[in-house]
This record gives sequence, structure tokens and C-alpha cells, in this order.
Amino acid sequence: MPLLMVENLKAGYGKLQILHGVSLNINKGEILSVIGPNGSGKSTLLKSIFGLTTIFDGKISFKGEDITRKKPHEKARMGIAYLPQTDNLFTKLKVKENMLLAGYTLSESEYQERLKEALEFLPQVKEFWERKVWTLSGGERQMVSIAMAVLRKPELYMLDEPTAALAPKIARTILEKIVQLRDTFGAAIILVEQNAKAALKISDNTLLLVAGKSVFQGSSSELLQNKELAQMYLGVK
Amino acid sequence: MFSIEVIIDAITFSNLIIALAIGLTLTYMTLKVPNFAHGDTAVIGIYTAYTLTIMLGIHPYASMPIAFLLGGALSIITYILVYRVIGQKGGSITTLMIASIAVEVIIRSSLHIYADIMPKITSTFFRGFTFSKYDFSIPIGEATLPGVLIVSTLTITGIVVSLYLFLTRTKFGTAMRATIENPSLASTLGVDVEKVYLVSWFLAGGLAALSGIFLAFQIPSDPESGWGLLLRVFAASVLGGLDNIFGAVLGGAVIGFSEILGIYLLSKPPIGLSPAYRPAIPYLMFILVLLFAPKGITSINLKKLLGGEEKK
Amino acid sequence: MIDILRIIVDFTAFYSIYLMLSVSLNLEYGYTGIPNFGKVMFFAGGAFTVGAIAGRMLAPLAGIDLSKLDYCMNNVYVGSLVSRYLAQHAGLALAVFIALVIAGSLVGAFLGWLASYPSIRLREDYLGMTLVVSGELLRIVSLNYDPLVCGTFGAKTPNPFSFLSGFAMDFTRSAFMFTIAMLTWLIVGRLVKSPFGRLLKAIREEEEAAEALGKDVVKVRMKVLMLGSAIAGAAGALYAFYIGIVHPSDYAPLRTFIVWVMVIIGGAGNNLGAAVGALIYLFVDRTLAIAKTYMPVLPFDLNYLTYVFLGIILILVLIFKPEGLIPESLEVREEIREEASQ
Ligand SMILES: Nc1ncnc2c1ncn2[C@@H]1O[C@H](COP(=O)(O)OP(=O)(O)OP(=O)(O)O)[C@@H](O)[C@H]1O
Ligand SMILES: [Mg+2]
Repeated sequence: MPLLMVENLKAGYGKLQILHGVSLNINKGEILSVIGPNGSGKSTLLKSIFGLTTIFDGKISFKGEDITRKKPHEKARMGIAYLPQTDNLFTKLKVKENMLLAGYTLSESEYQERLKEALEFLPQVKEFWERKVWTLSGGERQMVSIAMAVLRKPELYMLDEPTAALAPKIARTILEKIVQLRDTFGAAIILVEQNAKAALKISDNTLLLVAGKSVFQGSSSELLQNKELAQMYLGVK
Repeated sequence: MFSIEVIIDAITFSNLIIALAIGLTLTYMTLKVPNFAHGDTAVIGIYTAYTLTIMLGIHPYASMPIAFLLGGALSIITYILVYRVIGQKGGSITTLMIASIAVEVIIRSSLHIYADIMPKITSTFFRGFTFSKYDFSIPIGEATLPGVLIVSTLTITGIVVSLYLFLTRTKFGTAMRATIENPSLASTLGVDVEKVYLVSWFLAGGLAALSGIFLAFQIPSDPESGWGLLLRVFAASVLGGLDNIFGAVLGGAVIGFSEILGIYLLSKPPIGLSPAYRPAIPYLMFILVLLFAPKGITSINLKKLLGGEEKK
Repeated sequence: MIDILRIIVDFTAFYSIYLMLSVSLNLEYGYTGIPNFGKVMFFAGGAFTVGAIAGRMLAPLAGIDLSKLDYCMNNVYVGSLVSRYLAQHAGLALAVFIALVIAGSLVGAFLGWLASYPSIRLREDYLGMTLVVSGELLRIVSLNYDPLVCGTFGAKTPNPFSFLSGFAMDFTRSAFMFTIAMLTWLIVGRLVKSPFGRLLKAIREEEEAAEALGKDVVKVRMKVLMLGSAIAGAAGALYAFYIGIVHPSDYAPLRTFIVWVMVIIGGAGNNLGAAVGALIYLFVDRTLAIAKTYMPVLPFDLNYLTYVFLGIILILVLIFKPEGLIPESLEVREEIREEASQ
């Protein structure tokens, strides 16, 4: 049984429908890349899985349990972590308070332990520990938000463009770390990325989303072989 | 320039406005709607204490915890039955404000009905009463300090300090501040946003009802007292910026002091204004704040202000 | 028979006043999205104009020397002398009546301009609070500043219809009031169907888009608040003449609440809704007033219970039928949205 199963999901904002029947499966220890043009509904897909949009139809199950109508905070407690593309930090709070909130559902001892792991993973975060987030640069903020997701050590990560705004070198490290999350902890990861080539390289499967519909779904190597799609959406010649 | 009595009056009155401004700001931060029923919740506290005193002989200060619970409960009920429902149906801020005004009218009119009926049961008047005869006083030198000055100052200081510790030192308090800034992000981290809102509304209502009791130690109260309080609290909260608790404390102190000291000065010769103009002071200040510092007192750039003065 | 006619004539007078208030609030809130929680201020502005000017202005004509007696202490007496004088001069009486209603609306418009000055740019919550506070400020000043409407005494207004008497007088007065109210209703109805009306809705729906169309949103909102306040001012002037006395405590915020009840129940953004809402409210109010005289003595004032019910009904409407009894037509809404988003 897949860890997360999304069946024929139709969702949007208020009365406006964005997703027109999207389905996906992801297993433990897998990375699924979601790629597609701007505005195709990638972020909306993640938000909908987390329960932050209006769901018109479809079913979402996690570990065999139907979670379609569950509230976001309940999903968070079940072991799903979501890193939003924008507004992913509390800007008026200190970095350390943001990290504390990332561990909101954990006990004190668990929190300390995970915090250590997360800071080993991204040691830079320690440098701005006492600062308010609004004083950080874009890249610094992105690192904090990734550290927050890492701290939570969930069974399923949903990362919306985690490498945006980062210098290429750090971006590469982050992608390596994502692979590491899968390989060492056996986590499942849904990864939305603008840099499709880099994403395909590390992912097991890929979902190509165009105008709220899934255009391709399958192993990443298959997509690379599909000349037409690769040309249209990946810029492969 | 000011007699000790006037200063005592100003401190006591400011304490009340501060407590109410904290509550109003707290609920404003959750729904972004000014709660028009906030002043009436304070009056609920007054009537709770008065009823307990008349019927059971409980001292008004001893009723403070009961008033707190009752005010908090009422506040939560209105949130659940009215604001949450309208919010979930996508009601706009104006819709929520209209609903809030309706709640205000309901509570105030119910208090009037209560004040009409109760005298027939207890054969005591239920309008225009004060608690001053129940108060104690402490003589210090030539002056006597009224009990309400001490009790309200200690209470409000205690509340501000514990609120500060709660919001900055506890996990739930941090989650509250986080939720106020970005509810959906907080929910993705496992924070039960609904619970945060309920706690905010409970605290706001409880604080209002509790501190309302202090008003009745100072001036005669009736069901209309809440409305006048509300507008002063609007002034204090807007002055504080409506986005942080400590702004509310500052705004409450400024409004409370300006009103008492202001009318004291203006009612003396050479101006000799009638003391009945007293509420006009905070109302005028409200309008001045909107004109000159619409984002509140904390947004005023002190350096620039001082620098400007130096140039003169 | 006369009794029922009397009731109808009385009802018509009140309806005229409330229709004007509800039409004006609907123009501000329903069409333009301005949450005017200070309606009573503009209503009071018109009423105070009549209260402050009428008696004082006409007293010399009636042969009273105001420098020799305290107007406020004797204003009831002065008022009745003036009414007696007007009874002999019908033409003058009607001219005074019309002139003061116009003056009331001008004062209303001026107050609208004044109130919009600090606040019209603000978000709706700040705007709402400002209008409430300004209204209370005016009430406190009027209660304490005798040269206006004699503070807590109140100021008697002369009766411009005293050249008639009995039923004929009541009927004529109501006819005048109703004509003015209907004219207002028709004019506003026209206005909101014009391109200007569409601009108002565009402002309500999508302020930025309207701004992008090159319209000065702030100015338009200011104009609307002035126009709405002019109507409310005229209504206040009519009310002052009808009631016969202007007393500051009569202009409490509850009046604003009632106008909101009418607009929300009737249907915001629909001129017919404003008329129907006012009708329903007034019908309930008058019925209760009559029923009250037949009811056993309650241990409390029935008015308070009425307010509790009105509050509950208002909340229920906001929850279950926020569009009101006569909703704004949906097609118009959609069209506006589309236009605005282009
Ligand atoms: N909160 C919202 N309310 C209404 N419409 C929205 C909202 N958020 C996004 N949309 C619309 O939904 C569509 C999909 O947006 P989404 O953010 O899911 O795109 P995306 O694939 O993540 O794009 P990008 O690559 O730019 O991040 C867009 O047309 C967008 O305008
Ligand atoms: Mg996106």
C-alpha cells in the first residue's frame, strides 16, 4: 500500500477550480518530482493535500487512512511536513522561535534531539539563531525554513521549491541532503522544483502538471525518453 | 499642578483602559475585527460582582475570578456562535463588524432588562450604583490611598507581566503569536489555530469582565457604561497600533491619563469647561491619532520627531 | 375610521424618514462598500440645524426680542409663539420648511466631508470606528453646548404646518415628507443605474482595479459619503420638524443600528431592498408600539426586548441570508467583477 494516495483530486480557491482531477501515489523511500510551467497548479496540489484549499472532489489517504477532510494541524501531527513556497516563516518571530514551532508537536527531549540533527544538517542556521526573521536575507530565510522541515523528520515531506533563492552551491547541497533524507531515514518526498533537470536526476518518479491536469506520470527516466514532452517542458533538445 | 487625588484617579482609570485595550487588541489580532461588545463585557463583570454582593454578600474584589470566568465564557460563546460561523461562510470584515454591533446591542439591551427586573426581586437599585462603600483605604502621610488604586495596579501589573511571560516564554504563547502572524503556516506545523482563537477570546472577555469591576469603584455604573468605555478603548488600542499587546498598554495609559488630567486642567479657570465634556478628550485623541499616526504610537519615529525639534 | 387614517398618516411620516436613511446607507454601504457606522451623526446634523436656527431666526418676526430673554430657558414658549405666527403666514412657513430641509442636507454633506477627511482612505474597520467615534463626539458637544440645541433642555422646533389643523395638518405634513422621500429614492435609484453607479460597485468589488481604470477612488468615496450624509441630514431636518423638539439624547448610536437592520434585511446593494427593509422594520416597530398599550405591564421596558430580537434577527440574516430579502441581481455582480478584473 502506498504511503500517500491521491485519487482524482479536484480543488481550488473558493469557487475557482485549479486542479482538474489529479492522482498520484508515493511510497516510503521515494522521491516524486512535481514539475510544470508557472501557474500550472503545483503549489495548489501540495496545499490541497495539506487541506489548505477548497476540495471539490477526490480522495486523499495517508497510511491507509482517509485524510481528505482532516484539518491541517491534524495532518501535521500524523507525520506530514509541508514547506510552503512563500510565507514559510514567521517573520516577526526570532529564528529560534520559528524552530521551536517547527517542533510544536514534539516533546521537549525529542525536540532537543531533533534540533541537534537539524543544526548538524544546516549549521548556518545557528549563526542567525537570535535574529528576527525579517532581518534575514532571502537565502538565509530559505535555509531556516528547510531546517524547520528537517527538524520535523516526518514520514512524508512536501517541499515547494526548497532551492529557490539559494546560491547554486547551496542549492546543490540541499538537493544532496534531500537524497540523504530518503536514503538514511526512508522518508517519502514530494518535491516541486523549477530546475526540472536537477529534480529529475534525484527523483524516482515524476508528475508533469499542466493547467491543473497531469500530463505525464511515471519514472523520471521514462519522461526524459519521451522526446515530445521533454522538449516542451524540460527544454531538452 | 495636580493634586494627589487626581493622580490616583488617573492611574486607576488608566489601569481599566489598559486591561480593556489588551483584550480588544488580542481579539482584533485574531479576526482583524474590532469587537464592539468589548465594553459591554466589562459591564457584565460589574453586574456579576454587584449581584453577588447584593444577594450573597460576596465582596466585589472576591468576585473577580467569577467575573473573569463568566466574561471569558460569554466571549467564547459569541465567538463560536457568531464570528466563527460568519467567518467560515466567507463574511467580510464589514459583515463581522455589523454582527459585532448586533452582539453589542443584544448584550446591552439584556443588561437593561436585567437592571429593570432585579430591583423588583432584591428591592435594591440596579442602576447608578458604585462599590466605593465596600472599598478599603490606606492612609499614607496626609493622603489616603483608595484600595481600588492598589488592587487594580497590582492586578493589571500582574496580568501584563504574566501575559508577557506567557507569550514569549511558553510554547503555546509562541504559537499564539505565530498564529496571529500567519494562521495557515501555524496550522501546517501542528498548531490548532481554532484553539488559539478560543484562548484569545476567552482571555479578552475574562480580562474585560474582571477589570470592569474597577470602574464601579470609581464612578456610578449602569448598562450604558460599556458603550462609553468601548470608544475610549478604541482610542487606546488604535493609539497602540492594534497589532501588539504592549502598544495597547501604552495606548491605554496615554488615553487614561490624558482624559483625567486633561479634563482637570480644562475645567479649571481660565477655561472652565464643563466636566461633562470629559469623554470628548479620548474621542478627539482618536481622531488626531488617525490623522497623524494611523499606525499607532509605536510607529512614530521618535528620533525624527526629536531631530525635527532640535532644528527649531 | 379616523383612527386608522391617523395611524397611516403617522406611519407614512416615519416611513419617509427611515426610507431616506436606509436609502442613504444603502448608497454608501450596499453600493460603495463604506461601512457608515456613524449614520446618526449626519441625521443629527440635519436635525440640529433646524433646532438651532428655526426658533432663533423666526423669533424676531413673532415679535420676541431674544436679547431680553434666555432663549434656551424659554424655547418652548418661543417655539409656540413662532408656530402661531407661522399659522398666519402659510407661504413663509413653507418657505422656511423647505429652506431648512435644504440647510439640513447641506450641514449633513459638510459633516460627511469633515468625517471623510481623516478616515476615507483607511481600511473599513478603522473607517467604521472613526464614524462611530465622531458621532459620539457630536452628541457630547451638543449635549453640553447650549448655543446649539440648548443641551439637555432640547430645542423646540416651530410647526410650519400650523396654518392647517387637525387631520388636514397631519395629512399635508406627511404628504410633504413622503414626496421628498420618494423623490430621494427615485433619484438615488436613477443614480445607481447610471455609469456612476457601476463605478461605485466596481470600487466596492475591487478597489485596485477601479483605481487602475484611472478613477480617483478616494474622491468618489468622499462624494458618496457626502451625498449619503446630505440625504441623512435632510431626513434629520424632517424628523426635527415632525417631532417638534430636538433633543441631543435622541440621536444615540442605536438609531444607526436600526438603519443597518433595515438595509441588511432588505438587501444591500439594491435600492428596492432599502425601501422594503425600512417598511418591514417600521411595520414591526409600529405594531409593537400599538400592541404595547394593550399588553399587561411587563417587569421591564419592552423596547429592550425589541432590541434583543432585532440583534438576533440581524445576526441570523447575516449568517443564513447575507444577501437580504431582495438580493442584488447576480448578473450585475458578475458583470462588475469581470469589468473590474479586466
Ligand atoms: N490563493 C489563491 N487564490 C486564488 N487563486 C490562486 C491562489 N493561489 C494561486 N492561485 C491561482 O492558481 C493557479 C495555480 O497556482 P499555483 O501557485 O498552484 O501554481 P504553481 O504551479 O505553483 O506556479 P509557480 O511555478 O509559479 O509556483 C494560478 O493560476 C494562480 O493564479
Ligand atoms: Mg508554486
